[in-house]
Amino acid sequence: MKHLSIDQFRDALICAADDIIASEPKLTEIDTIIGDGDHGTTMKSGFTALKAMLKSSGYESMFDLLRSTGVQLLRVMGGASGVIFGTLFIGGHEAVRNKTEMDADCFIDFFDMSCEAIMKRGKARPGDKTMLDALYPAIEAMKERRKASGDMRDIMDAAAEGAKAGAQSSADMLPKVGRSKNFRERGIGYPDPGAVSVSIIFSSMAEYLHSI
Amino acid sequence: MNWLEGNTDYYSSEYLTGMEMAYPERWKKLIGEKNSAALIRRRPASDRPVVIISGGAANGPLFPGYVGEGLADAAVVGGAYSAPNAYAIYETGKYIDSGHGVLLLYNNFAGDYLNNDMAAELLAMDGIPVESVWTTDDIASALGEEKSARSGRTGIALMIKLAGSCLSEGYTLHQAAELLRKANERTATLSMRVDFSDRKVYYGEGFSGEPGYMIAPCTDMGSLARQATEMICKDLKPARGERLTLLVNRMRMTSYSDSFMMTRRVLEVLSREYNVIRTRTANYSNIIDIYGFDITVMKTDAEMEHHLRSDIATDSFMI
Repeated sequence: MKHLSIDQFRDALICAADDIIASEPKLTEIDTIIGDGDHGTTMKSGFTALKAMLKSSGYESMFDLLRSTGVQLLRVMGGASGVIFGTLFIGGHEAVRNKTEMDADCFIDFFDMSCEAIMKRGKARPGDKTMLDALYPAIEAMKERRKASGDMRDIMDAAAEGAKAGAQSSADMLPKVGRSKNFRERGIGYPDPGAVSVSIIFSSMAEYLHSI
Repeated sequence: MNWLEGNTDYYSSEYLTGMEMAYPERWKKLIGEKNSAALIRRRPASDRPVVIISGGAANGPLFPGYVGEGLADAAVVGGAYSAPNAYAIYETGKYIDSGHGVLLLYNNFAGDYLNNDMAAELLAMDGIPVESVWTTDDIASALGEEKSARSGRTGIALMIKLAGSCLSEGYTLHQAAELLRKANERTATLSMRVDFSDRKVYYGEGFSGEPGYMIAPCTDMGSLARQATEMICKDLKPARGERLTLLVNRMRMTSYSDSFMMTRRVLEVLSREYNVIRTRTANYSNIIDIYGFDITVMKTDAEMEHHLRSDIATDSFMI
């Protein structure tokens, strides 16, 4: 599988939305321990609205699909997490200008640029116990896999594995930015909820690619 | 938090509706969503770049009270003490832009930075020119860190006036942003809260009660003025004889008369070494139930003085 069409990418995002919605209790549980407890419900409301939008609209370009996705999360979630998860789907927009399908290089470039934008905007680095601790290793894993394969399923598998390992490793980290830094010690042993969410998004997209 | 400051998600939306109802010739409410609302001028400028200010609700006239001729074109307000949604800032910019671009002006708090930076990207994606300026005048914030990490305070009141004046005189978006960045570098604010129960003055506490950097016995107003002025000048380093503009902000529990007592004392101290060319005292911003003041000092050059020279009256203060 060399390319994803716009409709396939949209369906992958719908699967991701379903899994985020289903994971609300788990995300809430972690965030209640290490944060202010609203990550699960905020993600659920954002991805519920996202799913409704994706199911009812058609998209003419990857840019259109991804920008609309980011804007929907931004407006419904609000707050810092709305901006960060909005940026995840908007920050890489230059990589998908005029694209009507997504290949491995475009996909990697897109999330690479989004990751840069999140670091700059959120003033955070990998290792600070944020969603970047899943996103950054996911991108590194994709780049590594790309050396051997240009197949979208392989690339998505790499992203899912990288994000999952990264989210797990965030459990040992001390928070440096965001509100969770107020709960520094309490957070040790628990992964960052934002990182877990990123891991869920990439895992469901990979699963979707294997199902088609 | 008491009901006066709003415990509902739609508090900012509701009070902006009240503002429009009271002054329909002056204001129009544009957006009223959960924890985000926007107020614009009844007749927005159509021949120049526009300035949008934003921040949390419940800070007194900040921010919607600064929407008007000679000040801001729009204000986007979040929930109590929390930033508005980036999408609301973006929508406001898209609505009031006349093709000349949008200047986003806000205090440097994490939430405000995140949301304005996101809004700037969305506006730019739509082909609308954008400049962003964030103010960092609070000398007691981010102690031990770089100046750029500081948050903003009442200094933004003067910055809004500079923006409104220079844009109405034909500055380009970029020129206006450069003037504001220069002004921000030359502005310092220190807050003081007086606690009459323990007879102490707390210098530089944060908006949400983050500890300040000095607590001193509260003796008389002259001592308070001297201590605050010393701390400000140590940070701002004006040259002997330098021209300064002074703003004294009266917090909600402070009396009208006390605010002029304080203004007099600060002026007496500053005038020994510097040339204070303009002073204004009013309630420019608020923090819940506090007796105290913000002292803002700006080192003004000819360009800045030109834009600060004429009085602008709003519904509740003159600046």
